[in-house]
Amino acid sequence: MTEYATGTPQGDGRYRYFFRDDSRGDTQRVEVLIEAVDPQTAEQLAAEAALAEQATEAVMNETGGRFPHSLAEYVGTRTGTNGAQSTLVLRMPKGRGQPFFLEPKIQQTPGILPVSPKVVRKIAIDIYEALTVLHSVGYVHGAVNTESLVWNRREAVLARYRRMASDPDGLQGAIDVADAARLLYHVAIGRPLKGDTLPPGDQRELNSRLFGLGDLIAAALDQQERRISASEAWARASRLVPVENSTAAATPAERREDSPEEAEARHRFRAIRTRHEDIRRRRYPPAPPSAEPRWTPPVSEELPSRSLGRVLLDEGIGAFARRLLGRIGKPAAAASRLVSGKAAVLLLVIVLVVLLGRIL
Amino acid sequence: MSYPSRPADLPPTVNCPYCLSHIDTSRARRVIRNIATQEVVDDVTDAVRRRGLLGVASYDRGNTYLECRREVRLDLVQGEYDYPGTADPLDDMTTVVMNRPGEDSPTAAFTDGIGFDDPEEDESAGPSPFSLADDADEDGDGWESTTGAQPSPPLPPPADENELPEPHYIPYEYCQVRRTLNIGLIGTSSSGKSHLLAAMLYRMQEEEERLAELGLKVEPFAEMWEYYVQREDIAGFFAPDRRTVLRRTSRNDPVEFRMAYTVTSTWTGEEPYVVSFFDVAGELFLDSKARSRLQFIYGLDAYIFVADGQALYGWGGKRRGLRHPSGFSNVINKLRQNERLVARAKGKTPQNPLPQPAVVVLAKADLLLAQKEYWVSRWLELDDDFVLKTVDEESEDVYVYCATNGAREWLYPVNAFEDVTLHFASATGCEEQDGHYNKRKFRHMRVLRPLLSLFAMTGLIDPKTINHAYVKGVREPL
Repeated sequence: MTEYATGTPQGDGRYRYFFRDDSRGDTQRVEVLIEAVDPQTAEQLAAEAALAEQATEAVMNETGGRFPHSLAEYVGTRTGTNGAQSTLVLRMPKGRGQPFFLEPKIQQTPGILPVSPKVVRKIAIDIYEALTVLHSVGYVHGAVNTESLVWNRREAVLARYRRMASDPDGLQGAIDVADAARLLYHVAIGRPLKGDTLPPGDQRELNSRLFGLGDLIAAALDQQERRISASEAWARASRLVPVENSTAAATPAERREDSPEEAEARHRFRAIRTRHEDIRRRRYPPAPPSAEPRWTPPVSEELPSRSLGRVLLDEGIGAFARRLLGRIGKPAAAASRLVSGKAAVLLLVIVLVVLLGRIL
Repeated sequence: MSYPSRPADLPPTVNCPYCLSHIDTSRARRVIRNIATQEVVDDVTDAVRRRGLLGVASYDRGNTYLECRREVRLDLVQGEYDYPGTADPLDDMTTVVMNRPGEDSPTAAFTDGIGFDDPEEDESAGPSPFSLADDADEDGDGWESTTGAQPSPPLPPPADENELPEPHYIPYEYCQVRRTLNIGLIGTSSSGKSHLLAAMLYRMQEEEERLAELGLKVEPFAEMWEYYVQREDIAGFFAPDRRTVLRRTSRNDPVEFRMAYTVTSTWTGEEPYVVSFFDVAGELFLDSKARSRLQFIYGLDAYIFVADGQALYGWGGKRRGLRHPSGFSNVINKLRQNERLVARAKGKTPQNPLPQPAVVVLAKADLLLAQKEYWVSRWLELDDDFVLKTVDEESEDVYVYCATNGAREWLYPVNAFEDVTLHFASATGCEEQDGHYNKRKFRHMRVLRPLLSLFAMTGLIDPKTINHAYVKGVREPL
């Protein structure tokens, strides 16, 4: 299988992840191949593939064939080095650059967390959208965490189904909502949440980075009976505002009246600045505007030809002889080309016919 | 098969940014260094001569350096010779640094006075009566015949903390670029240079989109960012759950640029610049003996003067002065003296003010904000890193604040350099306690603004963004 994969594979010790172009030829999608490393995980992967197929079918039936971007779609395939049972293939949208599963990436480079507020907002929107769709078709995901999340540098995708279960009554969906909130806390702060509730200090901190995020996570981690649904969390996530765009001022307040001492200092600074600008003007004068180029007659690349007498006078007999032979050589060369052609043969025939006519 | 002595991807000579001499690239060694220990682990001269950096494994390309040692220098520079009784090289100049980066003029303008005889090395005096007999190892097996002990190998001489390490190493990829912009941070010890630089570099990584709006595409040079964040104190400073204090820059730390970025500007054209940052221990700027280590300041293209906001003392509506000197005047005097000597050697008039841009950053300004100082509070809490049209207005206010609060020493660069802006900034937003910063209060405040202002004054971005004109090297946009 790996011969079809592009980019660097990932791995977490139990599974290996490969990414490749979409097998149906859809340029907007890529496929992620999940491969088990031992027989035990191969069995789990086979069970997960069955769950992924169920979920995909349910979503397709519910939405009339459209599949959300934030959820990975099952692809039926038999390709794989260890046989079909050891491989799970999912389809997901193509982003910028190579996508990656979050957990192996964090283990490899811990410095990638926390992510910027804009990325946190995007992850929040995508993950709650995926959960809203899954819950609406009567399933719960059951394992929303960094191991299930793929980031394609443009959007987040839920790309594992290992603990998916049927939930027609919608009683278990609250677990997914809380798990997603923990995931958001992890990527926004840079460390996993300890405990089951969000401390007030962390709530303020999160709100200061992404306005509304602390409140969203707190509501998603509330007691189960008061916890918000996935669809409500999705709506709240869409309203998150990065703080830098919401409250930050970029222009200073009106300046107060200067004291005499301050006014003198300000005057001195302006004088220095003016003097230095004059110096810079002398040092680096602006380039003069380019004048219109005057028309000049085109100059021929060849020198005018000289007469043979001129050559004899200027360069002597040797140059004269070479020039003379050159001029003679030109018609001779033309004649030789004619001889080699059909025209020469025709001319020869005509001459012979004329000669024979005169003789006869 | 014979190979050309110089690879096609290096010019015949390269300027060393540390000692400012010209290096003959056909004779200089190419080596691979261990980034953690700074030791040379491999000599790849032949491989690199044959194929350039393709001759080195891909994971070692960022660790490949050009060795600058005395034998490969085409000119002698100050600091090569020690003169007894000379306090400062500029007091008794032997060689004057002539070139600035990008100029082709010879580095050495004049030299004299070399060749002092060392009486201890006079071989004609014969062996010392106190030395061990030459025949202590009679059989030549490496073991002394008299004591039966194997002599210990000679220890390497201790590095002189005032001298530039010999040899020193320049990143190979740095030698391949034509356009460089070397920026130095100047300030006394504990003024906050390293913290300011770390915050600047971090913000440059973060603000890719807003830098693009200014026409800048910024990428870490080679693998320097990876190496930079591998430092434990840097990683702790950046980690949101740690926020540890950076370790103090030692005067023994190698004089090498801490970090460099490849900056492509739509203003200057498509060919990228390499912008490098020099950060050395602050006490060197006050020490007249550290002449060789400070050689790099003469080759800088721009300066960031870092004033320690904590150095202001007195309160009662007005500050009364500075607790300790800033070191600005020492550096400016050295630069002016070098400028005079260069001009004299070239037969020209020295340029006054100095022909480089500079920024003065009043760092740790959050401490002044806590005391509700008007001028600081007017600016420090703004999120205006990219609103550069107010730079001149801020410069005026900083000047007024320093001039009326006993900090005139911080204003020396305003007179000394041809184009200067002044800024309030804070790398951390709060005071450290027990080696940590308060995680909730920690934030970088306006750290990118001085750097962007400097970019405008060097012509890397449009100088009109800060309402300046007549900038060296600026041309109309493409």
